[in-house]
Amino acid sequence: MRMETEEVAPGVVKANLVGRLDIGGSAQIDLAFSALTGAHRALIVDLSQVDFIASMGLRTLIVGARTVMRKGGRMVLLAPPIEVEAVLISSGTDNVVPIWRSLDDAIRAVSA
Amino acid sequence: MGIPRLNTGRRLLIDTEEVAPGVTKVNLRGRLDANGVQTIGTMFDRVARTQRRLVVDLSRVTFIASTGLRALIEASRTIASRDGRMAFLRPDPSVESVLISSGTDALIPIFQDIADAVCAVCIGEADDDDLPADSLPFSLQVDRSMRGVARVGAWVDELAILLNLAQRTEYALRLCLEEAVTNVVTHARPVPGANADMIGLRLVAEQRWLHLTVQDQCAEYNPLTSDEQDAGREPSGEGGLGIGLLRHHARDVSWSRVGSTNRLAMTIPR
Repeated sequence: MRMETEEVAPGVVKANLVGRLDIGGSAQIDLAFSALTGAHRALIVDLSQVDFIASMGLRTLIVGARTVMRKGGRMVLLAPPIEVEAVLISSGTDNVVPIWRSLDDAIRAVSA
Repeated sequence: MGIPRLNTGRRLLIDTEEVAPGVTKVNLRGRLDANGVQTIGTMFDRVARTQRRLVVDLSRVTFIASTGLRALIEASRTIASRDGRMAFLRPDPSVESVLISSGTDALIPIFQDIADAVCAVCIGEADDDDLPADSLPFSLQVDRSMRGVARVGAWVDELAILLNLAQRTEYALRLCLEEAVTNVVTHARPVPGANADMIGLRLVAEQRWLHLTVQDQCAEYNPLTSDEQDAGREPSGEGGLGIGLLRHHARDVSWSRVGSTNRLAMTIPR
């Protein structure tokens, strides 16, 4: 599991997660991801290269989103593969962290 | 005399004994390298082809080479093809580290205690007799720890290749195993004196279904009754989220207490 970050618009950071967000994967990025959610108010988490997520990974995302929201910021998820999206929806995670298909929409959603 | 003496210290010796009804212990002594495999080959093959419950005692094997690993894996496949099981007993630490680093322990579990090894090769004995002829059983024992959970991921990688699983099926299998094992690691309480350090995983693959069981020897704990309060749409970030996902990806999810064993069973469509 890897995580890279880039600034995709002024003040808007996109975190690109790459790999499997299973127990091992979550443990690998947890620290860096919480640091990121603590530091930014407009965060897009790009899931397009994440090929697995289960409850441990969902927790990482939900806890991160709550950290961002507590500061009045916004976090959204971008372009999860179909199997990952199904898990996000069936678990209700999309009610806490909205899912967007396009980067432009995601940028608008966190900037508004 | 001019006859060279065999250096018996470098030869591999093999003998067998019946340690429980239907359970054969194979005692190997010496170096399990190319020469060793050649020495024991015929006898080991015959044992693997005729026995279904095999415990291979490695306590007196001083060295293992890739040829040796291959011979052991082939024997376990021969046994598995007849719905049998094989386990290793008490390998020397240097041999054990080779078994682990090569991933051989994922196919053939390692035990320190003869009773545990016998138990492992007998698990599912009753079920096995009911198995359809075209089904394939696989099993894995992992530590009851987060390290054990991580081990499960690698097992799913292997199964996905061996069984040529569709991406959707592999996802469901990975999710169900990870959630079930995580639940045992985080919630189950060990019973003093019981062998609660391991979690046993078993997969029986049929043409259209994967039947999965996750077993542990901890105190009685039913994970399926602990998710009711978490049924709301917004996840709280704790509790029954994992079981909810598991139910979403599997059918016929059931829990039972069999003797001192917690047993979670489920079926995943292929």
